[in-house]
Amino acid sequence: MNIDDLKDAWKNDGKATINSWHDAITGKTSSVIEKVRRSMRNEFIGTIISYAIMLGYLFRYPQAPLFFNIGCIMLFSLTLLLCYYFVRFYLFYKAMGRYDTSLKQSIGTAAYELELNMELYKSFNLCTTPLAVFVATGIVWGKGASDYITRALSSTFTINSISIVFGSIIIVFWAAYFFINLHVRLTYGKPLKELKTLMADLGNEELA
Amino acid sequence: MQLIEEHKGMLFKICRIYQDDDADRDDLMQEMILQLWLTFDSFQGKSKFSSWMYRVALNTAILFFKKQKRRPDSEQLPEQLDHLEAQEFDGEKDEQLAIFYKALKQLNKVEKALIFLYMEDQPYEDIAHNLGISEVNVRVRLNRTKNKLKDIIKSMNYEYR
Repeated sequence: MNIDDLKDAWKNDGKATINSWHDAITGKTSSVIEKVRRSMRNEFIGTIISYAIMLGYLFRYPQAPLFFNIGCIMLFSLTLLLCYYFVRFYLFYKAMGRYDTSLKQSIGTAAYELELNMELYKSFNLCTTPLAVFVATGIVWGKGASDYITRALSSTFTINSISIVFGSIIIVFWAAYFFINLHVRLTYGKPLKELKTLMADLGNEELA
Repeated sequence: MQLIEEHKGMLFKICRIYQDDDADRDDLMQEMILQLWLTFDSFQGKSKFSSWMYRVALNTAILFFKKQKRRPDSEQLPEQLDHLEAQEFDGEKDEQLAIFYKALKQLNKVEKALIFLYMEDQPYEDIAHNLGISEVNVRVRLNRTKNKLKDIIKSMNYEYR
């Protein structure tokens, strides 16, 4: 056998049948870029649904005025943060994924976009998750939380109460950081590592 | 679509090189067609349509990652496919081509792209342009990859000249 002798057989090979062009154009695919896009779409839909639930709870169940006001202020701050990140995600979503450049450039761009998105996603979650957890817990817990928080905020801080408040904040931030990193690493870590290996291989001109 | 249809053999071969089972090949074929459709506006007619198509299809195949799936019989699947592939061929050259495809599976993604473009009779200049590396680098890598392929085929107990 010789590779050059196989060229004729190679040329005659490839009698593929593409059954449905429509299915191919509209179907879901599994490229790494498409996976990121799908995650972004799901995040957006999930956020809208959780907002509807939180607003429902906030207005349906009675809350102490102080807590209702704090809840509304925190929810508004969360909305501003979400707007900023979703605009960034949308712009990123529209710009990513070019396949018509050279392989080296395509891989470089994909690796860069994937890593950038991972960092953006991590910072987005770290900013919004702890805030969302506090707001959601308070709202869903209802009158009990409302009264407790009102009482705690109107009394003088003691070592115990400060430890509880700051401790809860640290725990929620740490848990958010840990789970976000784990989720991002499990979802995108492998493709990113492979892209970086390919990039390093293509960039190694010393081979010549 | 007619242009893609004319060059569908190229897509078929890329799917065969880069994916092991039929479901993954179908997914990759779908992804390549989708990307060709989405990026068609970038084809300005300065180069041949086939050159542009090589670039988009290969980039798509290399940036394509398998869906996370687990099948109870997934361990046995490659062997079953190899058997089926062997049955589909008749004649010495076709059998050799089947062995060649099997050997290609042991190369990395960039080496596969190099061999694919070489088998498609692409000039070194075009290969270098498609991969984004220098022409000298293409020659060196191609020689190394051919030697690697030769060793793989020999390790499969087949003769290689």
